[in-house]
Amino acid sequence: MSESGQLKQYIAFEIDDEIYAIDVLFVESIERMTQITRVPHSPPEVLGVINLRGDVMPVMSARRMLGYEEKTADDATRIAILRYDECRIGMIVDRVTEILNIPQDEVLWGGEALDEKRKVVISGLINLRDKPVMIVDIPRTLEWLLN
Amino acid sequence: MDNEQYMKLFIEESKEHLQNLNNNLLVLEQQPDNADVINEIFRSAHTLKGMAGSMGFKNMANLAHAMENVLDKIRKGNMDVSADIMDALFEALDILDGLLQGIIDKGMEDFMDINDISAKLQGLVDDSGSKDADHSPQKLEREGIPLADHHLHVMEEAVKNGFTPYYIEVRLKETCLMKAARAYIIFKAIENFGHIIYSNPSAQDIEEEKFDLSFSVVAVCKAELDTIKKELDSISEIESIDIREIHPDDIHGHSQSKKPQAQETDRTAAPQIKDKISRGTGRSIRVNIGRLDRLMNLVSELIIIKNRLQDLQRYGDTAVMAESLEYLGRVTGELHDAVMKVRMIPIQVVFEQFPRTVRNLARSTGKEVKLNIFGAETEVDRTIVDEIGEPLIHLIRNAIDHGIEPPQERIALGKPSAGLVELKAYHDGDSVVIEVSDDGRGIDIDKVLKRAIEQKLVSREEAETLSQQEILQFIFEAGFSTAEKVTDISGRGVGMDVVKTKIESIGGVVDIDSRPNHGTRFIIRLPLTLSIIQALLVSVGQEVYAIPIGSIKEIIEIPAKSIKLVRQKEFIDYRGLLIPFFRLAKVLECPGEVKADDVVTAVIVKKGERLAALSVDELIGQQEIVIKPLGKALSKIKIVSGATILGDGRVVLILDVNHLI
Repeated sequence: MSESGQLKQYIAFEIDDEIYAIDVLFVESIERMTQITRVPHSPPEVLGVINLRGDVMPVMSARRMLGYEEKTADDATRIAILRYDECRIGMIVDRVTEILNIPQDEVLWGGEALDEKRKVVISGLINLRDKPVMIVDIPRTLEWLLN
Repeated sequence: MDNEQYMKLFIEESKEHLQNLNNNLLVLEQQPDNADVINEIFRSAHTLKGMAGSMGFKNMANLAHAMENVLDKIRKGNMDVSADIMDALFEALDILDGLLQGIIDKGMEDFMDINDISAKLQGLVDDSGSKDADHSPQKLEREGIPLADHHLHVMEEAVKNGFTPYYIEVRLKETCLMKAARAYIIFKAIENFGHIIYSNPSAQDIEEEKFDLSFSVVAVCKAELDTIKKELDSISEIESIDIREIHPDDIHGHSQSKKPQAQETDRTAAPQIKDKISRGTGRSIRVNIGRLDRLMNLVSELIIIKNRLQDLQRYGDTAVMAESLEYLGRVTGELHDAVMKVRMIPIQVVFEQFPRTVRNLARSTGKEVKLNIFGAETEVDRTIVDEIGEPLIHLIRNAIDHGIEPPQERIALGKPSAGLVELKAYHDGDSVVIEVSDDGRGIDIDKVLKRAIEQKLVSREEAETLSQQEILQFIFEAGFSTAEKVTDISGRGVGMDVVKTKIESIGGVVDIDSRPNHGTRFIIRLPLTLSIIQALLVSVGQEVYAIPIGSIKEIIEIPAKSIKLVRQKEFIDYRGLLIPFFRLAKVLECPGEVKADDVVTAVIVKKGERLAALSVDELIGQQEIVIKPLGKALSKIKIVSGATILGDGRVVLILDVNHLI
């Protein structure tokens, strides 16, 4: 198989009616929603910390990061535990839908059309059954968050 | 035992012997006639020689042998201890140290040139009185330059890459005031054209002004001879410069044919060894067997009680249950204590490097300094031992450079000519205190305040309300310095902020006490343990927070009316002292409305000597908590030092009082 046609796995999640995807390599696990302890003086995207099997783990809201309105958690709400370098953080999403196998040459760059907030963290677009899927670039997201 | 284990053992033991040598040489310098010390030094050198030899580290073995020869002569009374001998022995010790470091880092000896120092030591043995002419620059010039194999190797490579090797000999004018600085300028000038690969005397000796008037360097440059000469001629205070291009036959090294090959194979083998060693060394501690036994006993007690609790499940007897739980609580408490003790080592391992530091600093600043150490046996957590060395060295440097006056000045002030630096360690409740003090000129508070206003750290109005302690804290601000002249040692305005950051990173605080002409004292307070602490749980609005017991002085109730407002800031009267009052709900930006009771519960917290009151809604109780980090994404948040997980799984944040007040 040629380099460009290589398959990459993504985890797809939804916020309202829009679909996003994260490279599966950065996802450690998917957890159910749990109690969050607020951390004062933290960036607005970070909601607080959770107890993940005895470890304390910061969690951020995908809604806040991508510029959506707040919504109360429900049964479908999930926390995707992400890991990049030495940074581990949970990302709260509305629901996790499926795992996608995407050939790399089908990933397009359509970032020009995005708003400022999303331009920072979205690195590509995929057309899935005639719906756009936005790829969230985890390294960029975390770097942006840390600074 | 495989090779790796031999290597570990060799490194551990060599470190010990080198430290021993260092300590004993310092004693010898003070008591030149102490036969016991001489014998002790001789034995250390001898053992080191044997160990290095059996591991195949030739440079180390040869150098230790050369030291041994000198010491043997002293031991037999054929030679007196002189400053020259001490300097040579210390120099040899430093080189041994460097060699050992190379072995730890790379798994092999560095290609260090030990010829100079060996010759120096041999010269002392041959004739302790006369100056040995063996390595004066003139002679070297006649006979060619004594370069080691690795120098030649570098030179060959450089020539291949279009560099030209030059031999440069510089003689400074006799009137030259700061020889080291002048030499530095010359070095810099040469380095503009290429790289210096060798210098005689060594770069360090030149830096420390341990040379007469002339020195020589071998450099590989990409410039023409004339260009370099012209550049160097423009530097003042130089008597003469001699630059020659080096031709291959101008150099006599050692055997040139076979060795480079052998080095090549060594190099490829090195990384593997390095990995293995770095995992094993530096992080190990020796533990008293009694402490381990105690640990073992406690673990067996835990097993017994676990079995008992299992039985209880079957019968459901609540009275026995309560008793067992109490027992369990006691055992886990003691277990924690015992594990903590295993991690504890005497602060001696940090302190013992300082006599040498002080000696060197005193020499380079031309001051007389006496160092007194108290409480070296005080035990602290391993992590603290690893981290505290650097800030302490910095404080000692500051004490000698800025604190202690030159001898004449001291005598004029009616002080003894030798300055005193004191290092003290002791336990105080749940913390370890380390003090660094000097009897020098003290910190000029007015100057600090003036500089703080200049650097806009504080407004002129605010400045008037500051206490002496608060003013002194400015010296910990980044970029703050009152030193008028920049010296080699300190005064560049960097450092004190690093000291503070480092100490705070291990949960400590620094306080300063200074009196003009009486000296300065830095008081460092560190927690005994870093992972499990006693904390007070408090509720603030809907939230629960933990405050480390170590930073709590008292809990009081105060009428809301007694809170005073001074310049938009709240204060309370605490035992006749006006201390700042912080409403935690506000500081922590708690959601929901702020309660307005008639009586306020206030936790009086301390940061070193400073006090503050924190208002809380409710006291929940005292608990032993395990500190967990918040994670990298939140590492910038200062007012919270970590989090803990309660019995019911809730995460509770631990407040960092140092950053709150």
